[in-house]
Amino acid sequence: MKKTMNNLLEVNELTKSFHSGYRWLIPQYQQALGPISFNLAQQQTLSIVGDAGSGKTTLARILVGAEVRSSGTIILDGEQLESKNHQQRCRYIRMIFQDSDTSLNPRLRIGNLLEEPLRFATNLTRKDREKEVYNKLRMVGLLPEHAHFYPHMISGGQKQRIGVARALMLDPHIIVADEALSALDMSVRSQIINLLLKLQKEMGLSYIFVSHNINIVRHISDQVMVLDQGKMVEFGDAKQIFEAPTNDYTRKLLYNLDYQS
Amino acid sequence: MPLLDIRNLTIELDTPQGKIKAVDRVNLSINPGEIRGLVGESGSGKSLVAKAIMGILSDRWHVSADRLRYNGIDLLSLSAKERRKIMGREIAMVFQEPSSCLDPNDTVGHQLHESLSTVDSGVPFFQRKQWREVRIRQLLHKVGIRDHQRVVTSYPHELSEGMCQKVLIAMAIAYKPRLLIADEPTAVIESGAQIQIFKLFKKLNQINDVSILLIDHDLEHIKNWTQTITVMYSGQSVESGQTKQIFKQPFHPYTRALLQSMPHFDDKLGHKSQLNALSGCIPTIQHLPIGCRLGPRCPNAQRLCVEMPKMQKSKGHYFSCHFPVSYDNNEKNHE
Repeated sequence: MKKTMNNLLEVNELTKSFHSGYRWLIPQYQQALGPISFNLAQQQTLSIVGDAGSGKTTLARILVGAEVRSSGTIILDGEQLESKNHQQRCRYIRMIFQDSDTSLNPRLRIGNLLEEPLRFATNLTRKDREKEVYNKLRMVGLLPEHAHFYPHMISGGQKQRIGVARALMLDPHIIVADEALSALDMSVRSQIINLLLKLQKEMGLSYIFVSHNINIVRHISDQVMVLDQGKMVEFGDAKQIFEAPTNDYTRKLLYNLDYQS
Repeated sequence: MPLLDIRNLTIELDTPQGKIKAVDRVNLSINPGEIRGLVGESGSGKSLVAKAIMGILSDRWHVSADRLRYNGIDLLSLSAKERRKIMGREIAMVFQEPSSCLDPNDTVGHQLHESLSTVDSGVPFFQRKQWREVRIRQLLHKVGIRDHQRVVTSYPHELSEGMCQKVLIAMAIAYKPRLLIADEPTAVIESGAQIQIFKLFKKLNQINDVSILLIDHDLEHIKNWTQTITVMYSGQSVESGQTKQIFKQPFHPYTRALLQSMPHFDDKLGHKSQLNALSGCIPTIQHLPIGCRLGPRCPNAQRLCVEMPKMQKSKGHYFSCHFPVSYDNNEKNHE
């Protein structure tokens, strides 16, 4: 445990290729991502920025196990993460989805919704599960009563809080947020940012943040990775990259920012 | 004289519980050659105002106003036919959700042909088709579509959402309108191309003297591209004035909260520190508070706030608040 304190997640030579058809009956592949290697320490935030189609969502999905990688290794806490082992994956790396409206099952009460990961991945009794759900609801600034509500009964900001609570459910080490803030309104967005920052401090969470809003990235991240067409063009300390970008593509992203605000 | 002059615009919705004021006495005016931003969060009635100006709200909505004038013409007293004439030619609008605004049965090229008028262009009839084709190519290039050939022959579902949006913008500017209403024109466009669209708007504004009403929920976009802004909250206009002035010194607590909710605008903000955020959430249309609708969320609300505050003016800067804030004596109230 001591050794892994500084490297919670280690990704080596990760790639992803998609099948792109046949040529003379030989399957053809197109490399969409990688090779990508990086490390992430505890209580750190890594942000992945890039244009649409740069593979940032693919990378996030591979990390949470929603998509299978083509090659490369992912080491979490000194342990290899296997592509097929979802039991192991879902406990340590969890995800907040972009659109909270559509990512919550409208036919389940919020309590059941949050309970689901506990039912599938732990042997807790019903009482304990309930307690855990109430606990997590409080943690994200909601009330235990909200467990009896259906998703359509609460506001958009509260829905995103539920999304955060669901990600927290199995006490993960890493939370992957794929554009989790971009669909939110401004005043709600800052509430959620505050919540995420608070949780990071209290629970020692690491975040992997996929975003195109450079201002927010600058505020919350320790490390930044810039992706361009599946290639990692820049990776390093956030402050350093924002102050002195070495890559043309990064500079362009930041230049766009200057125009925006 | 302002090009568009709106005074006390109220839009009501019929519900089983009675009429609900979705937009409550909003004032807005646009001078010729001005770019005005309309900022507000979702559900604040920005799109409703835009649609009321265009006159395309469905019958469920009741629009009333003390004054709704475009270029001296009272829009509310016009017949539907007269209004239609103004709609396409003089006032053009770019809609949200672009792919649902294009006809799915028709190629994009054909729809662009339809949107171009050749009757009064002075082109002989046998050259009109070619003239339109050249115009379409120019328009598509203008909005940043390089492979016009492919776009023209494809159906809306074959194009990405961002591409559809660009096509819609091309249609809107095809007529060279005097007033362009852009409802979140860049929400689905990737960040690099957003600037291109804003630059296009700016160019239209400067060269063709088009007035633009730019609706957006993000202040970051609005800051650089507009001269004046109006901030709306939950159907009420809370503040309006020069963009620079408002960004420097907002008077309304809501505007201040919006400005502070963005990390960029407060450079003194420490890395990873808590942001200033209003607590609570935006009220739903069924549960609107009386008086100033920010009331329940406002940090300095008092008993007086259940009455609707009057619009106050100070140096061309309008705001409606009983207890306006000035930027200097704000104490950081962390959530």
